[in-house]
Amino acid sequence: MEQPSSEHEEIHLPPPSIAPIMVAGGITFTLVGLLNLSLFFVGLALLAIGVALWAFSRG
Amino acid sequence: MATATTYPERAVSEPRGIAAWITTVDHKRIGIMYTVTAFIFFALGGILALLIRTELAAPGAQVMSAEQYNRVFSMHGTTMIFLFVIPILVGLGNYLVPLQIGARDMAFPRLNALSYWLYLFGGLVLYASWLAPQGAAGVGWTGYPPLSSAVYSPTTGVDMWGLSIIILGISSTAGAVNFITTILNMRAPGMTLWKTPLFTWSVLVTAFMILLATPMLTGAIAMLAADRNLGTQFFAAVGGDPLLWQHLFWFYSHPAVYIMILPAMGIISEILPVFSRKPIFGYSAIVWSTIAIGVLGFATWAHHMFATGLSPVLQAFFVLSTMTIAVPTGVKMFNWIFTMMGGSLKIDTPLLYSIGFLSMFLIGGMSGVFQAVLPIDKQVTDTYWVVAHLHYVLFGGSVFGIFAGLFYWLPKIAGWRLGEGLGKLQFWLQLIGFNLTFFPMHILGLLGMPRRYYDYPAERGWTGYNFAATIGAFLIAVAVTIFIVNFIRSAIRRDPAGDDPWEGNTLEWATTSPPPVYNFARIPVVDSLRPVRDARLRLQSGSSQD
Repeated sequence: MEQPSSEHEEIHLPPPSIAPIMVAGGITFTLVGLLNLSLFFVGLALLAIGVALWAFSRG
Repeated sequence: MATATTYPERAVSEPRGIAAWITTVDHKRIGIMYTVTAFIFFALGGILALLIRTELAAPGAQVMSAEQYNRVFSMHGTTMIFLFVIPILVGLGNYLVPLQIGARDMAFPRLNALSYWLYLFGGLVLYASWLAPQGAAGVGWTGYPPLSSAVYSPTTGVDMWGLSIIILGISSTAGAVNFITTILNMRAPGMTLWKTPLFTWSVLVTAFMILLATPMLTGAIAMLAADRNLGTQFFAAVGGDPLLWQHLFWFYSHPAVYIMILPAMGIISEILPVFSRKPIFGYSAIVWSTIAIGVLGFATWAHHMFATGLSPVLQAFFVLSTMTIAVPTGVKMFNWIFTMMGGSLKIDTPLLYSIGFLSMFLIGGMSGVFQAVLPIDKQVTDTYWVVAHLHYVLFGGSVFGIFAGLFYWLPKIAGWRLGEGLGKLQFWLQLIGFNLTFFPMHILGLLGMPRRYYDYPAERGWTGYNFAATIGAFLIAVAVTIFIVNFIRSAIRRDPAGDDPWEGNTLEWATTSPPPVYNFARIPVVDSLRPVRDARLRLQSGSSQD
């Protein structure tokens, strides 16, 4: 392993996000909603909010 | 890609407590969540295994009815494969791959978090199926029609079983895309593919297998759901073909065996050189063998179907391909043995589990080659021989490999080591319990005991072997309990592990234990296969010259 460059290195990492758990919940409820229609609409709503949060979050 | 906010900015706004875990996109936290969740499902699957073994300890009904038994063994198989072995290896991959290749995170951190949550929710859907009006699915983890059709299994438990596997499939596919992109694009400067650690190589090949195989299972389950709910007849005995399910199912599920074993092989390939104080013997041979297993793994699925009346040409092809896949596996075996030969072995728990992996997987591999021989396969199909074989591969292989990895990498993940004394006690109990449970099943299979039956007549002479297997299963449970006790005890004591407690070879040992959120203050530059060992030697020779 060579010594890394000693120049200043800016560290980029994405911020935490609630979107992944919302999208996962949306997908799960939508699929399980195929067996129970009320869950289907809850799933679609969660999915839409999660995707919107994901799409418009910074980074 | 993982390039957004600068770290100091992120640290200010970072949530704390449980919110930090729910919103995290850090590969290390996600890896820990995968590993802990998978271990909880392992405990649940283990309790189901103990119920199975208690029922079979003696002839006659012991603790449950035949219907309950069907549900219990179906949920045991589904849990261990889809909720424990595959996800815990994904968890270790998540934690370690970016560290091993010198990256700050996975390529798509939010997609990584999505994969984890889908995995958790898929598992919860599966376990919620116990609450279905007619109970959970009792169709085996293989879900063969016509048993899984609406006629013979009218419970919504089967639909929930299918939905949970579809959700887990989406999780796996997203994870595979992430691993492939990360490994191909985010390696540290100087780390060519031929300087990439073997665990990372195994994850890369596994990810390609997941990507190619999982859609087949998802499609098959969608077709089954249509048969059950929309009146289609894809797998109907009249107007469709139940064997089509078997082809589609095994096109995923045989590669799935390699999806479960290749990362465990990768773990062993990291541990053996470190604990033998030698370079790995035949690095490129191991890489090519891994690739060969990944490719050949897609050409062996119908060896699960020899008893279904395949044409002689197909039978010959799948006999040949099944025997051929033993060659790269054998190459790896020789490489691992030659790595240890002449080495200065350090007999700590990770090495014990690695040797356990080699010996148990060897037995499982050999019984697999037996089954590739058509006349033998037709004798042992659907007997306890098959149960013995698959457990020697998936428990003796994958699970021993997983424990090797946990003992090896926990000091890096937690910053403290697991107790060696309890670790060795756990290993020996687990090895003895494992062989007591599963070796007699070979004999039971040869004596003709069918798998998946909840009872057997006393006069068949199977009772002693079954009783031994039950004792062995409880010994395994004691061994796993010792692991949990060891974990809690070590977490309380927190004996500092140091950054590089084993004198490792790969980049994860170049950072602190546990690593900072950004992994490396500066991205390392790699110029060899064992960068950390080489840097350590240079440092030692430099200080001795001083």
